[in-house]
Amino acid sequence: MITFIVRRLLSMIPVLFGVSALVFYLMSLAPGDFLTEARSRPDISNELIAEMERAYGLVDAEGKPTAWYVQYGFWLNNLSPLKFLGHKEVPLTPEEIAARQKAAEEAIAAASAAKATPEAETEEAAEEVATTAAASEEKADTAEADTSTAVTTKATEAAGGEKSSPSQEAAPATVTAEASAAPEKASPETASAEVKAVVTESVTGTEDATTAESAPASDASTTEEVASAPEAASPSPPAPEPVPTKTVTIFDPHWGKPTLGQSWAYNIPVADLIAQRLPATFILSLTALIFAWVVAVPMGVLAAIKRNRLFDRLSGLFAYAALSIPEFFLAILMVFFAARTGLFPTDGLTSLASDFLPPLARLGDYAYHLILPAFVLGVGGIAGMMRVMRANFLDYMQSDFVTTARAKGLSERVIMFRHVLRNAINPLLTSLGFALAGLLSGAVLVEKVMNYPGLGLLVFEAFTRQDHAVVLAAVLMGCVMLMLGNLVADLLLAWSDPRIRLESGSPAGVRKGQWKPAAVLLAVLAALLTAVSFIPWGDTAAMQTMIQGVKWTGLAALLAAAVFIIKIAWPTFVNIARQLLRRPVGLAAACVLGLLYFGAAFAPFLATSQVSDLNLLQTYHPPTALTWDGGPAVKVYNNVDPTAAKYEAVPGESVPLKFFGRGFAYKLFGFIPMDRHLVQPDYAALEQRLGGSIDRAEYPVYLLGSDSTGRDLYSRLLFGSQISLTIGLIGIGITMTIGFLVGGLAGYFGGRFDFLAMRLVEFLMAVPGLYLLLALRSALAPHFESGQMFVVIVIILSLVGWAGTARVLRGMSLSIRSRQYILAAESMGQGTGRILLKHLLPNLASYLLVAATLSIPGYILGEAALSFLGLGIQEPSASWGLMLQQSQQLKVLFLDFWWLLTPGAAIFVTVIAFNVMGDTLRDIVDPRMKSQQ
Amino acid sequence: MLGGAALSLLPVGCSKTQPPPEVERGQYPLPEGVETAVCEPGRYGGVFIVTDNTEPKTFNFLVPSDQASSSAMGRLQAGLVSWDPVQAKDIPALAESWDIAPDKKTYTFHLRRGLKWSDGEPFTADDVIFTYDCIFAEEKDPVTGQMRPRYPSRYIAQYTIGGERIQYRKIDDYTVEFHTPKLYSPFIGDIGIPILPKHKLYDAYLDGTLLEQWSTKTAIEHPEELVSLGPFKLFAYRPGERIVYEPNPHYWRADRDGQRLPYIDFLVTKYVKESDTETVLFATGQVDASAISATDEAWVKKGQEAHGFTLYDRGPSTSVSFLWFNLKPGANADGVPYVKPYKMAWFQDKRFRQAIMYAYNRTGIARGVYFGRAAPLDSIISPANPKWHNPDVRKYRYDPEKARALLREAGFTWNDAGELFGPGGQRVEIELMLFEGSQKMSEMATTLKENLAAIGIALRINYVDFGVVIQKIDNTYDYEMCAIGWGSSAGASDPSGSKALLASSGIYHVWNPEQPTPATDWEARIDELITAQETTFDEAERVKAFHEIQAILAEEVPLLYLVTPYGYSGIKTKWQNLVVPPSGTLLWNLDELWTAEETE
Repeated sequence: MITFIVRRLLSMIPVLFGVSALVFYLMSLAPGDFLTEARSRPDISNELIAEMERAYGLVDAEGKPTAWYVQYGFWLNNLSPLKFLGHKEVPLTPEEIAARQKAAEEAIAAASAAKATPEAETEEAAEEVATTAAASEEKADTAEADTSTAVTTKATEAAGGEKSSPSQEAAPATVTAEASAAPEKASPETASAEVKAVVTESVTGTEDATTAESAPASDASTTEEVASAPEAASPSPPAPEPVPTKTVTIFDPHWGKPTLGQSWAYNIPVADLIAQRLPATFILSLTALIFAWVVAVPMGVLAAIKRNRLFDRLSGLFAYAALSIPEFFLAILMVFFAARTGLFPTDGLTSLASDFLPPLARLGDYAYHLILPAFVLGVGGIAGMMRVMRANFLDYMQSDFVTTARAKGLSERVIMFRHVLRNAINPLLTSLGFALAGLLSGAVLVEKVMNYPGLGLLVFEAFTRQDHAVVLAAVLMGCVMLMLGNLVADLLLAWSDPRIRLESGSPAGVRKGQWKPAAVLLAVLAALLTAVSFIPWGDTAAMQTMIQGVKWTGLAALLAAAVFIIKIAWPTFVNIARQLLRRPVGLAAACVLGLLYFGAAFAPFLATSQVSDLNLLQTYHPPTALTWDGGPAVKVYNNVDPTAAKYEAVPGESVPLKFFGRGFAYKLFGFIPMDRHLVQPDYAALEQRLGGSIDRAEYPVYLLGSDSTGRDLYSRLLFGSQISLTIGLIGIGITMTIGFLVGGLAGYFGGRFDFLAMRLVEFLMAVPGLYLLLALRSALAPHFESGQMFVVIVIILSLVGWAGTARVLRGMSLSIRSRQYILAAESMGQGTGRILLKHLLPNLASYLLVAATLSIPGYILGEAALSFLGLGIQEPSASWGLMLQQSQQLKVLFLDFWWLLTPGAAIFVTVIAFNVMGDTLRDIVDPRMKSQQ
Repeated sequence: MLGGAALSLLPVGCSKTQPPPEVERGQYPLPEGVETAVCEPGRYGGVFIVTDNTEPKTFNFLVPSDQASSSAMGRLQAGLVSWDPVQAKDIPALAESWDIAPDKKTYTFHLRRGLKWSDGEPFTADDVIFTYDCIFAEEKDPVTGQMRPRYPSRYIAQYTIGGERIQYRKIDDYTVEFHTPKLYSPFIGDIGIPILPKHKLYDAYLDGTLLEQWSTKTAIEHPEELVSLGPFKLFAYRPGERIVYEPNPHYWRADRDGQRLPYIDFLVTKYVKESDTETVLFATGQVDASAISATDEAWVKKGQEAHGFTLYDRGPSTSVSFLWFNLKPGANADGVPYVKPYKMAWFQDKRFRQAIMYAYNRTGIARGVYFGRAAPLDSIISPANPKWHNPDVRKYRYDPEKARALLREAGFTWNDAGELFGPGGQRVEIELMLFEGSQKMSEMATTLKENLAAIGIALRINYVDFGVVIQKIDNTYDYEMCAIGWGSSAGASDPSGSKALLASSGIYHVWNPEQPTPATDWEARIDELITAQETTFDEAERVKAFHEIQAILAEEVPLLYLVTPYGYSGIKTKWQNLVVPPSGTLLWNLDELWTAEETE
């Protein structure tokens, strides 16, 4: 038991190193750093910026930006109680001095050259000079690296009498390779061995080195240990005449105070900042969790006991609704509800009067403010947990021990609560562990809408402002909590169910030949890492080519995978489809989805106007009512109050509609040129009736109203569905493929491959997805259009998201592989590949189908949430999430522009349909709900 | 929704009506140099609640900060001079009066006598001298060996006039003298910076930790350390939630009945992340004053009766927003031109820029998007600033035909599909760079895209991070077109504060920043006018100079102005002594506001 815990704790260390290094790398991708904003402000002087750059280690002594791994090294050094970095003044070698003089001469020459051409931008020239100077210096460094080791060591000894490690590799390339290739073994010692090689030089000219000694006194307090400790260690050089020196970062282990660093934006230590926000976040998450448990468990039990009765149906309906509403949208509705009724506070942590209240009332005030945010946060959890609880309870109600108990004459209550409940609650205990992980991570969306001062928003803002220290501290904390949560979950499970043993290996033994897939996995990983390091982050043209390549090869690969799976599992799918159509609920869901996808495919044909056609005369126009005026027609409206965009129908006037009329030209499915549309306003007929030409902008047709610039919402919904509905398909395409390749095979082979794959999955699950997305977005956004960003976002989302799928599929394939037919095939001597294709995959396919259907809603809701944060699709493209985000202003609710909420309804309907269909599919495929665990 | 119903039954009947503790008044006599306010005497009491979007980052004005920090500090601190938005002039604050010597370079300030900091320590000329000592303190740079500012801040540049620093000296305990090296007319407006307490910060000044003093941590843990000369002092700061201020018992203003101001018992600044939530809080009567946007006014107004507040129409806002084309000539270090040369040729042609303005339906945006509560902007100085605004500049109104005529004149042609081609035969395609997260900008940009498509120009909108925008317009210059909002607090009262934007050498001269010499004749003329207005003390001359600058900008259109929405300010009707200034916040005389109503 204890060895198990210790082992798990130890296995956390490499993950922590890996994740923090990854975050450093990600943050280095975004253009600029946290001082970019400061630099552009005239009220911040250049001296101050230079001082801050030094203090935060953003530049080396020459003013060149440091690489991310150097910054990472310094960060590790600050964090660890055992410091391994120090600074040291080292006199320059003659070669270096010569190189510097040469560089200086070059600089002067270049400067005079710049002066000679009056047109040249002086600033540019100066920059160029700087780079050439730097380049020549670097050259000198590398050239001297091999020959001068001895010289430098001697010089060091002469200066300080202290031995420093002689290796001075000035070429950072080698360090990169080492650091990125081996993130797992980067324990403090090895990391230090790499970082100590980085040499920073200060541009000490002819000034006496002793002045340099006193200098950092003022800096010391900000840079903390980095600067202060080594000062004592290096005495001033004996030479009385000015000797040019450089500061060398050396390996110098000593003890010091661990620190998380300073928040730049808030100007206080990170630990203080986080401590300020932690209690509120913790209490909110805890309340939401308790609320979810307290409601979900009894509801699930009741629903199971009263199966198929009214309560069951109602609670099922509630669960679907709760799962289908975007969290932020619910939060907005709640704020609106609170503002309208005055029953609840609309925002905040405490009321203003709480500073003056007696302690007990203050506590009540605190709880009062917790209700709405905890409710919004908890609702999603309730729905999920209730469904699991109900399913498990039903499962155990039919088990043998219940029959036995009944036969023995135990009362129904005892059976239900003492026997069934105890067993049925097991999977929830597992989820409790995961929930613990979320306790300290905060909830960005709810905090933002409900103005709750928690950690989520703090870290989100820190990331957008590139306040690195805060982000890292939060990520680290999140990781630790996640892994502790997993551990707690395992322990809880073992405690509640003695049958589960902690140290269990794979129960059915290990398949032969698993080194092959393991090697392939490793090779693929290595290839990916190399490929990532070759991504041309700064180059738009190259990025464009790359994304095109990725898009088309990806599409081809996905299609191939889909065709392959369908070919293999065709009979299963046909069978499932038949059963689905026989169930009324499933049929209804399938019809709704069919309709939605039909709308997306034929969007331009169905639409009445282009996605971006605007009409500034008719903003916030309500839906034009249909009427009959010698044919189908819509009413005409007058803007009676332009200050509040209030429209009223004009009696007796109408715009006739024409079916299959001509409108804007488009290409159906991207290649069939057409200009006919399902419905078009018939302006020719209208002009005939009114006698004379009309301003068409005065007679709009808005089947679902218009938005803030007078664009037709009906058309935008259709065009938006193209994005919102395909996001999920592409997403699951990627996650299912990778998930199957890694998870499914890991389950089948077991052993070393399984171990490797599962560690990879754990690592990916520990990567904070939101930050990954933010970083990649800001690195990529300048190079792509909105439509391309859409592809990029989906790919990123699914590349991070496949880990969970892999885990589920591994479980399924574990259970399949011990079935008789697999064993039979193996004993008959069939090859591994054949078994995989003929036996494992077809049986896994139905589970894949269920998992896919149930995970599409996640992508649709995810897109909405990203758009809400301003990170999703951008104008002028349309997506449901973006449209919902634009309608979330409160004026929409207060001025009753209800039609702007239709994207929300569309999301809601789609997600419910997918959930219902997924559940029905699961009932068909897996009546005992195995796929849920 | 079952859960909600169950939860609302929780015992939450907390006593919301509990009054705040009594504030002790009148325990200190009024100082000798007390200023008697001209307002009607009122009654003590009441809590005043306002909201803000961002929290202060520091309470130390020497640390670079943002609007939120200065507004939080503004409640606590006072300067020698302050700005009266109603009379639109500088008025005495800590200095009772000042003389300007005949050479117009020497200013003598006479401080109010007997003033005390909020902790009871006397305020004297030493504090003023100490403040300027802090700004100009120097130390030797260990690396270069040159002298460098010890506490670098923007004020060093502000007080460096024509390359030389201002001089200052103490004459006696209540008199200080300033000397500008050159004639510099906006000086009085520049001297109103907060004064630092020598008795609190001198040690930190000596040991070099001055910039770490008075951080948000101090405010949270030791609010009493932040001694104040302003109307309020800090009572409590709850990060993420609010700051509560209480009256400064030593404040130096009183009404004519001898009651020390302010009347308000507590001032609360509540921090609200979403501006939408801010509006809701005000509209439902939970906040005493707030700015209301043009698009929200329609529904907020409905609650006037129910929640007892009044909305004031403040007319056009003082901040302006605009688009511009990148006119930076040259190429980067790799020899790649910032803007493709053929495109640069279009952008540099003023007829092209004018054509864009004529093609852009800004009136439509004002009417449709803002419900008619906005107007197209015609000048860099908003009409909200009537003293400096020039109403007679060239105006561009939606007229696609005129746009086409200008383009034709400049040598542009159209093909059969109506697509526009440049004089060199290239298709006119422009990329507009916008930063994410501003819906207003996005509405403006999508409208522009449609309008430009109508005259055959293809506009591509590229959304990037704010940091990227900054980097591109400041450093790499590789963009074609961009948009920002410009709300200079310094420029609000005196457009001289917008020098960084107007002068061709300015860092915010966005279309072609930091030019060594003006690139065009009209930019040279603007530079000339700016220098001229700085050295004259004749207001009329200065106004004339700024009128000409506005006319030049309107004719040359380096900046393509967007629309200026009308602002609305709401305040609860119960507050007396309210004087609505022509522009700026309603709360400029917060210390004079009082209410007859009992505290809720």
